[in-house]
Amino acid sequence: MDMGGLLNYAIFFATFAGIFAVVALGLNVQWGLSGQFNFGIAGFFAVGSYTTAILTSEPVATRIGGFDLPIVVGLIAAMILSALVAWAVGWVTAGLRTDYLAIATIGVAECIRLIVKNEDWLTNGVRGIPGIPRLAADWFGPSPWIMLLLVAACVIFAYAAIEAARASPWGRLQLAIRENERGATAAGKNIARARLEAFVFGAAFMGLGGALYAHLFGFISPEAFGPNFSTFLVWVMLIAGGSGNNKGAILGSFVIWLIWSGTEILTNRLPVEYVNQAGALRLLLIGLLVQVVLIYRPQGLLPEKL
Amino acid sequence: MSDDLLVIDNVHGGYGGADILTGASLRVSGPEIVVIVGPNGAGKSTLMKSIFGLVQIRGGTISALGHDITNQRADLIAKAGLAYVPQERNVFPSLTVDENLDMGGYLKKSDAAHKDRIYAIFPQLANRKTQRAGSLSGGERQMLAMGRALMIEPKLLLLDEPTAALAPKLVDETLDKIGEIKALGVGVLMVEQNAKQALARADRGIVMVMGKVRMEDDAANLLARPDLPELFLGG
Amino acid sequence: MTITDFLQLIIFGIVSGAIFALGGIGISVIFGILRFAHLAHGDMMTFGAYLALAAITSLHLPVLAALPIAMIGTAAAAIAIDYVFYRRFRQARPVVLLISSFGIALVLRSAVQLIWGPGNYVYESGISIPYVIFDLRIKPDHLLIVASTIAIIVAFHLFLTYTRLGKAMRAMSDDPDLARVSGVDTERVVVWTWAIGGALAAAGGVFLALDTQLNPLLCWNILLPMFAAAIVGGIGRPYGAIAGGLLIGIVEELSTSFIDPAYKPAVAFVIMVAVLLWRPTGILKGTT
Repeated sequence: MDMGGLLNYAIFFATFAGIFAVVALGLNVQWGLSGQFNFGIAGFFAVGSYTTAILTSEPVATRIGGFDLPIVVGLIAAMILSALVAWAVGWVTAGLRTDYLAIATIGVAECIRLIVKNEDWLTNGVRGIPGIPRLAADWFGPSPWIMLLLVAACVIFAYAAIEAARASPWGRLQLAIRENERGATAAGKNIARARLEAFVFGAAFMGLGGALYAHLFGFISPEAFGPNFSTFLVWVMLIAGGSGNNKGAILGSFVIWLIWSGTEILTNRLPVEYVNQAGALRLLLIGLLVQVVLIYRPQGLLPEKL
Repeated sequence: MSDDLLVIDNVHGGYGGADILTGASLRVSGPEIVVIVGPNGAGKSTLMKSIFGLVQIRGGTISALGHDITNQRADLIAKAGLAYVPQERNVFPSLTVDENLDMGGYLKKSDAAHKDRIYAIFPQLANRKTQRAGSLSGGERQMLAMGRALMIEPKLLLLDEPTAALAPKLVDETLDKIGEIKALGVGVLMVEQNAKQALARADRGIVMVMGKVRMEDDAANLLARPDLPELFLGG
Repeated sequence: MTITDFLQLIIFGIVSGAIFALGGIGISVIFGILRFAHLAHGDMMTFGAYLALAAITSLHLPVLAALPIAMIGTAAAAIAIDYVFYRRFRQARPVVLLISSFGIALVLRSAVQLIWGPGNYVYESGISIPYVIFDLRIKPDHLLIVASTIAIIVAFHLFLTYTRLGKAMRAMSDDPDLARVSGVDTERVVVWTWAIGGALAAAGGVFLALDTQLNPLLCWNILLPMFAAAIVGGIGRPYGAIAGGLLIGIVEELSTSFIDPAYKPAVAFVIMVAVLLWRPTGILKGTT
């Protein structure tokens, strides 16, 4: 690989890791701050992706839209719609115990995936949506840089917003609820409301991450929203980085993405008959990695500061 | 010293941060009934749990029948010859009465003759062999809990407030059963709120206050003390 | 919908219900004993289905003969997974086990794909001719699935009711501390819990593979209806999971006459959420 290629790869790497950081920060609100399980990250990610894809792509006859709107509108709408879906989900599931919430959110993601796959009029079904605008190159330098800048801005925005929320009375209330609820199952209208707010707040960033993903690749299809990739990888990132710690969430995203990408470089060197299996091998390693983290460093690289 | 059924020596421990037990010591030496009384929060139940390894012991030692059982696994303590009836959740609600006794005899691989002896001690259980324990009345449940514990054929039986949730007329009946259990050659260490009724049937009494044993005497002597109510209330 | 169509759907529902029940029992028992939702259960079933495939292709066994091999192999794998991973998290908060089992799900799924590849397989190629009774078509495979499931569940029932270990499992599910106090070596019960959960999982996986075809996502795809079965039946109660499995299976099949069959998993999900909200302890009361 020449220097230019290496630089491009580094930019792509940082962009993708940044997108994961946005999602991991969202999960850190739900899990790290509020103690709510969400194994349905892929669902909110998909909502964000498809929202911006439909709003910003060019009009086509076979499905709703596109509406050819500016990317920034797509990003904001992705956050809003993801938050709305989270509100509907959370409104129903807010009172559930952790283990039931885990199953319920898997179910939500599965339902969203079924909709994405089957409602052709909305999402173009299994063929996916091509032609999602990528950041234009004509008004400032080479386009990979702009995408990276946009993603970096989103990471900073997410970090600042979540840190501010964490330090506010609202954040302290979340912590208090989390610590209390670990023992007993407290009820109460205010607690349910606070938990719902955290769930919605976190989901907005998952939607934003999904939207950024759509604009990075310019094409999305239901394939990308299976449970392995976005949901599990983000969990590993947050746990490895240190759940409850926003810097940890960002660090974890980059470290795990480095490992994930690194294994891709290694598996690409395998003999050709095994390359097809490489994806499976990488997932297997990630599945083992999370066990190692849980056993040897359950608090993560940067533990939560209380 | 291996004649002693139980020796608790200067035990410290508790659930989370703070110690509830702050240097408790006592001894049970043979088939006798020893009653622990004391105010709420004195650590009586915690002491019972700590004997069975259900509460972390952070200082001191507990030995039973010559074995050190400090922070030991509960099933191994049962194997050593101790049985324990917690105050609440002391039967398996979804198992039948008969199956509850089988579980008590888990280590003995279901000795049918011994089970019949238990039914002889608690005849009202014999009529309810196939009934689920969860549907028993409070008094029957307490009988079953004691029966389950006796299935281990223990040398020492720990009872945590066996009469706590019972109607007054069942209290005497239950305490009389405990007398019968002693007659089988089993030592009994019990926590009891009905101090007078319990001490009247006991050999020795122990007053526990603030995580320590404050006083220890023959039950009759304790019972005769005019200041017993104050001791009991932690005065 | 004619009465024949209706009964036909009921038959299909009983077949998938039997499979959900086999998985749901394991989920329920594991929850009862270890107090966590075992998210790798679907993939454990898939693993079992592929073990049977290996036995069928290498030893040229019929499916029914490969079944016990798959059950024993999966039981051993389940015990090994518990020993290497889950056992370390017993003292940790329950969520750690949730995350760990989600990771194990991935490991099992990837292992299956690494060994057998991503493609589809069937146990026996060729078309089996259904029996026709009063216009109802009953496939021989379906009869085999339902009959074997009944046999396995009866054996499981006898185990729970009459053996020392079976009673200990129920006791531990009621109250682990009291079981320990009674002298039960709870770690040994845990080992047997995995053995039974794994064996039943393998049977469910083999039957689903027999009814459809093998692929690495075979039973991950039915994780939702299986959890729905366990929850509807009252989690921690294996008999409830049987009733729950049949209910979910039948309702899912009947729903296909009203809504797009692609949304079958969503039906299970809706029932599950409704039960969680309406009666979190299940229609038959469960462990809390």
